[in-house]
Amino acid sequence: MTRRPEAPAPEWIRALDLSKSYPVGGGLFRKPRKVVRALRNVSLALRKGETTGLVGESGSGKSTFGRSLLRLTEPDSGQVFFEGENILAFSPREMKRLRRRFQVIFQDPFASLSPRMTVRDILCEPLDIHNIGGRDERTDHAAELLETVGLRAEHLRRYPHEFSGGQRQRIGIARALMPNPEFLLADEAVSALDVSLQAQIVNLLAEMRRRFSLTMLFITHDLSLVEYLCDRVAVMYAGTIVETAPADELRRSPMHPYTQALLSAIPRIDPRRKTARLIMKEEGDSTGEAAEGCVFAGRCPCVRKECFSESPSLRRVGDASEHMVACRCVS
Amino acid sequence: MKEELKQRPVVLEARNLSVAFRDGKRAVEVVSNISFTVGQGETAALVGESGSGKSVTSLSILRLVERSGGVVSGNLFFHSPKHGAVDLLRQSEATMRSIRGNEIAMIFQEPMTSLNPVLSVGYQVSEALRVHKRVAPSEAKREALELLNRVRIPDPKRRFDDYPRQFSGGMRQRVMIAMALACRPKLLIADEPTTALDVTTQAGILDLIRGLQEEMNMSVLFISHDLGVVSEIADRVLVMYSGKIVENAPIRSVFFAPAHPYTSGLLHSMPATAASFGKGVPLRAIPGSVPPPGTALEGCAFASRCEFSTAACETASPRLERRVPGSSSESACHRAAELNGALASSLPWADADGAASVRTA
Repeated sequence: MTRRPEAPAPEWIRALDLSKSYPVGGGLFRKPRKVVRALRNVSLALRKGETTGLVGESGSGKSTFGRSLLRLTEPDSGQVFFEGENILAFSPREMKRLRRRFQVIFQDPFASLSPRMTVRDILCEPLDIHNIGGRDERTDHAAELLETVGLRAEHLRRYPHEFSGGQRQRIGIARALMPNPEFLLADEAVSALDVSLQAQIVNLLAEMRRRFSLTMLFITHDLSLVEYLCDRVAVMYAGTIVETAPADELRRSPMHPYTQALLSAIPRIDPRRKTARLIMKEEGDSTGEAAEGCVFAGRCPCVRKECFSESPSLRRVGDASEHMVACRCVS
Repeated sequence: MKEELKQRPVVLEARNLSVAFRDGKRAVEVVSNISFTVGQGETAALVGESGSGKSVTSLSILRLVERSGGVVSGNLFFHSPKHGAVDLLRQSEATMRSIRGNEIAMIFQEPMTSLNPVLSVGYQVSEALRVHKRVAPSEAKREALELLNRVRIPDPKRRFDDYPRQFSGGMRQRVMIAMALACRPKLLIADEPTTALDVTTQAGILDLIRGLQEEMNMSVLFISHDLGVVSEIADRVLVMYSGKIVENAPIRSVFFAPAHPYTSGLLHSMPATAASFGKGVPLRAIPGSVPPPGTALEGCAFASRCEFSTAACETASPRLERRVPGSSSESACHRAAELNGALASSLPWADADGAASVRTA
């Protein structure tokens, strides 16, 4: 694999201290009872041409982070720098221009395609919105891309319900590629698919990434997919990034106790390579207010007293390394 | 690992089980003519992709498909402690009621939709005891507390009167398991019990099921689409494709010496498999997709997606039988014997050592 350049690619998109809270509980006339902090000062840089995997369990804030980069969710505070400018300060018009270059593939291929539009209309909609090309040109481009993702040009006249789950996800990918984007956010893009289809779509994504030189943020809960597809990985827990590292390094030597527990929990097929599981305490208050200390302290197998009072920041492991961990116990 | 499967007394035996649903005037067969057994204390896993018929098979055991219009035929022999050997398909609703939740229990994928949101967790766990065992309420509560403790719910006394919404996903699944085990069933059917859970939670639930199963010497029919999960829990694997069982083999054989191209395809298309080959090597995906239920096929249902298919595969439907000499796997592939070895050769863990251990087992 030659895709990774020798020197690390320059940072391209940089999120700085993104925070986002959601009120929960309460009702129509009642005050919310508590606040879930979906993002707590999250910073992450994406490099051009690389695929970054964002992993974590449900509720860890990974989707909120991805959506914040495109301002599909407005963060409460923080900045997102892209080509030197803070896109969170962009006007709607500037944002619209940017969205042509930033596209998304969603998880559920049944919910993300309008049942009342033909495949042609679905694919051409991004071009209609951004006013790119003439009608015939758009249709031609759609037909071409449809074949690129493994469907046929005559499918343009059909409706989404005529396709299987895997085929729909191909349509979703084609739609994302229509305006010729540079950045692709794949939010659990293959999680809803069966194993045999998942493999097809993963291969397709890898091929498209190469062919269109895409930078990708690949959000998933499946660590084996990340190992396979990503250059770099960030692990999220309770709204914070607890560890980032090059993908193969993360698998070889995970540092954060949460990453270690996560890796050891993946069912591995090889019956001879069984490693002992690291069991975390269940039922930590993972999303609540626990304002002080490490977010993982309540479940951590190697917790110390100071973990409850001081929250650790993401620090480099070793000098020249690209491996960063937010844990007091890692020196 | 427990490999001496033949000696186990059989708890459940399906013989030529078929399930069809009506679609307008057409009858669509979603499970066709399958036969399998589940032994005492054994965990058999039913593996397949969506639409393969695995859930319908499990529901037909409890006679739950007839209500939604399913037509079931064949035999389902169950060794009932109370009624003796019975054919479940020929029992009255009254008998079925005394078997369901009592001798055969089931847990489902989504614990929230399977629990009643307006009844307390304690009430729901003790319900099975009150209904089937007719014990006094105080006794039922005592036993329910013990069950909640056994499925490792912290501080069960305090949580007894809580409602399902106050529990997390993993804890709800623990409650479901407590309910299912209340009457010490002989057979537990677990339909994708960990699919909706996070991996770390999943690991805990699998440990729990395995522990309780050994402790109670219960038989488990475990339904899953995830071979990784299955490798952690099953003694034997039944691979389903398009309404048929295409491979029936002990757990080690499935992973070290798969005897059907579909099983091998599933193993190869897992990203975990590919990751060990290195990055950038494309996943060996199975081309095409599962034929929609009811597709009339003369030959093997997998033939159109199979890299090894020949003209014979398109015309003759292969039966599930022992095809590989010296192996205890049953395969529904005409070419199983000649492909033996080829199907496993490119799996990263399938070296001579592993294959040998299957043969000696």
